[in-house]
Amino acid sequence: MRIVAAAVAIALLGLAGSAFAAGEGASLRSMDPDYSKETLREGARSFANNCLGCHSLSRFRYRNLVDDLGMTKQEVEQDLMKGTVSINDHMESSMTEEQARDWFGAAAPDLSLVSRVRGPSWIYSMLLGFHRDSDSATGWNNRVFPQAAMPNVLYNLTPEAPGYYDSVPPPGHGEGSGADNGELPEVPEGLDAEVRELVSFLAYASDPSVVARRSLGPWVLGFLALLGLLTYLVKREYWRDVH
Amino acid sequence: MNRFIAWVDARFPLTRMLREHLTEYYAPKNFNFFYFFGALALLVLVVQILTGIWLTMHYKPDAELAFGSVEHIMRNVNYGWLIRYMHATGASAFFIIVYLHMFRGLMYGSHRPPRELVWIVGMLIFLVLMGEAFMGYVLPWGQMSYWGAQVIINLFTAIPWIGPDLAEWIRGGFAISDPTLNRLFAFHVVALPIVLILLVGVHLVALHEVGSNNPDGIEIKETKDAQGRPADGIPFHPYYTVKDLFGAVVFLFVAAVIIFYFPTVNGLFLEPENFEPADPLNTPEHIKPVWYFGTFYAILRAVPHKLTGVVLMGLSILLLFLLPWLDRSPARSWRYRPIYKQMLLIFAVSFLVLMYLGSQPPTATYTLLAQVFTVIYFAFFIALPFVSRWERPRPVPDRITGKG
Repeated sequence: MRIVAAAVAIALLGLAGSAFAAGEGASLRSMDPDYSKETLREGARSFANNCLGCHSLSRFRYRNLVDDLGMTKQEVEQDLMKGTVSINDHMESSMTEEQARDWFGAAAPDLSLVSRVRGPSWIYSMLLGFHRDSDSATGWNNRVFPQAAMPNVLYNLTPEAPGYYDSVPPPGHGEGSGADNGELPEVPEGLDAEVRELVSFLAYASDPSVVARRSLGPWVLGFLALLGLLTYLVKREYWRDVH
Repeated sequence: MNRFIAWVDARFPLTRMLREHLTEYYAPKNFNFFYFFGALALLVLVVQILTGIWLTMHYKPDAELAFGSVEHIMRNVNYGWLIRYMHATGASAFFIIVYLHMFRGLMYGSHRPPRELVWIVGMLIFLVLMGEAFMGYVLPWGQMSYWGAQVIINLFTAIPWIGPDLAEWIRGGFAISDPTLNRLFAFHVVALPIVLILLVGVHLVALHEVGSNNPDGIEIKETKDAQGRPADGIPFHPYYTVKDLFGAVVFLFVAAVIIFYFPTVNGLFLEPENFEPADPLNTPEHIKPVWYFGTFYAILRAVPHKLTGVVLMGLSILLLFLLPWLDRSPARSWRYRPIYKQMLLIFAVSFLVLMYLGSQPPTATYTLLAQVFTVIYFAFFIALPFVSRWERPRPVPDRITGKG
C-alpha cells in the first residue's frame, strides 16, 4: 500500500513536471539578473535612455542610484534625471497617460514591480521577441506579448537597422540564424548585452534591497555559523554526563 | 540579590515557577530531532510578534494605501525589507515547524492519554494560527490577497439560509473592500495574537502538568531513582535549554539564507501575483492559497458540491481533534506499532500530495487525484479505531531505549 502511494506520488510529480514544461504561451529564454553594481549602473543609464520616455518607475527613487549603486549625484542629475526636480524624486516619465493613449492606444505600464510579477526571463524574452508585422499600428508585433502597443525600441541594435554592419562584422556564408527550424532566432551580441543590463536593472528596481541583502548576508551567516559552533560546544559540554 | 528574590517570592511564586517549569521539570533524555520544533515554534511566535509590531508602525490599513505602504516599508524604511522578509519567511516557517511538531506527536503518540488536553489546546493553536496567517496574507492588498479573501469569505455563503447574509456581515459590505481590510487588520494585530499567546501558555502548563512524552512513548515517571526523580529524566534547564539554543541557531541560519538570498523562495513564500495591487475588476486566471493551506484547499475543491466541500474541509481539520480517542492501541509510539507506522506514513504522503494539488489549477486529472487522496486522507481516521484495536504492538520496554 505504501509502495502504491509512493508510485502515485512519483507519477504525479512527473505529470506536474510535464504540465509545467508545456506552460502557457510562448516559450521563454531564461535569464538570471546580474546584480553587480557595474551592470546595474549601465542598466540604469540604459533605462533612462530607452524606457523612461514612456515608462515610469514610480516607486523607485533616483537617490537609490547613489546610495545603492555608488553613482555620483552629478552623474545622476546630468545624465539620467532630464529635468526632474530633485534627486529624492521617483523616476517618473514625462509622458502623461492621456498622451500615451493618443500616441500608442494604451497607457504605458509602471515598471516598478514588473520583475516581481513577470520575472526577469519574461522581460528578457519580451524585449528580444519583436518581429515585423505590417498589420499592427507600430509595424511591430511581439512573440511573448502579442499585440503589444510598444514598438521595438531597441531596433537600432538589430541587424535590420541602417548602418548596423558598419560596426559589426557581417555573418559568413552558410551560417543560418536557426530562425526557420523552430528554434529561437539568434540574438546579436550588442543587443543581448544591452537587454541583460536593462533586465538586471529592472529586477533590482523591483526589490532594491537585493544590494543590501547581498552585502550584509555573508556577515549574518558567518556570525550565525560561529554562534552555532559555540552553542554546539556548550551543548556538548553540558551533555557529557548524560548517558 | 537573594533578599530581593526572597521579597518577590513572598509575593509571587517566582522561584517555584522556575523550578516547576525549568530547573526541576524532568524531560526524557532521549529527545531526538523532532523535539526541536516545540521550542522553535515559540521562537518564531516571538519573532512574528516583534517584527509585526515594527511593521505596524509603517503599514497603512487602508484599501487605497495598503499596497503602497508595504512597498514603502520595502524601499524607504531603514531595514524595512529585513523586517518584512523576516515576517513573511516567519509565516511559512511557522507552518513547517507546526506541521512537523504535530507529526511528531502522532509518531510517538504524544496526543494519547493523559496528554489529550495538550493535543486539544495545540489543535486550537493551529486553528488560530491558520486564521492569523490568512488575515496577515490579506494585508498587503495584492491581487492574491484580495481574491484569496474573496474565495475564503465566500465559503460562508455555502451555509444554508443565513450564508449570504453572514458573508456580507463578515465582509462589512457586498464585496471585499476597505472595511474588510480594516477588520482583518484588527484581528491580525490585536485579537488573534492575544488568543495565541494565551493558548500557548495553556499548552505549556498542560504539558508540564502531565510531563513530556518521548520517542518510546513510555512514562518516565514510573521508574524513579533514589532521590525520587524520574530515572530517565533530565532537568529541562540546563540540558534542553542549551540543546534548544543550538537548534534555534541552526534554524536562524536556514532562515537567514532564505531572507538574504531567496526571500520569495521562487514564488512559494511570497507569490509573484501578489506584487500586483488588488484590482476588484480583474480576476486572476488561477486563484490559489499559499502553500500551507494547499491540503485543505484541495479537499475543498475535490468535491463538486460547494456545501459538501466546505463540510469535508472542516472535517479534515476537526477530525484531528478526535485522534486521542480514535487511537485505541495499548502502545503509544509507532516504534512498537508497525502497521500504525505504515498508516501514518500513507496519511502523511496524502497530506503532502493534497498540499501540492491545492496549488495547481483544477484540471480533470488533478481533480481526480485530489479525490483519490481525499479518500485516503479520511480513510486514516475511519480505519484507525479498528486497526489500532486489532494490531498487537511489539513489546514496549519499561525504560527508554537510548536511541534518539
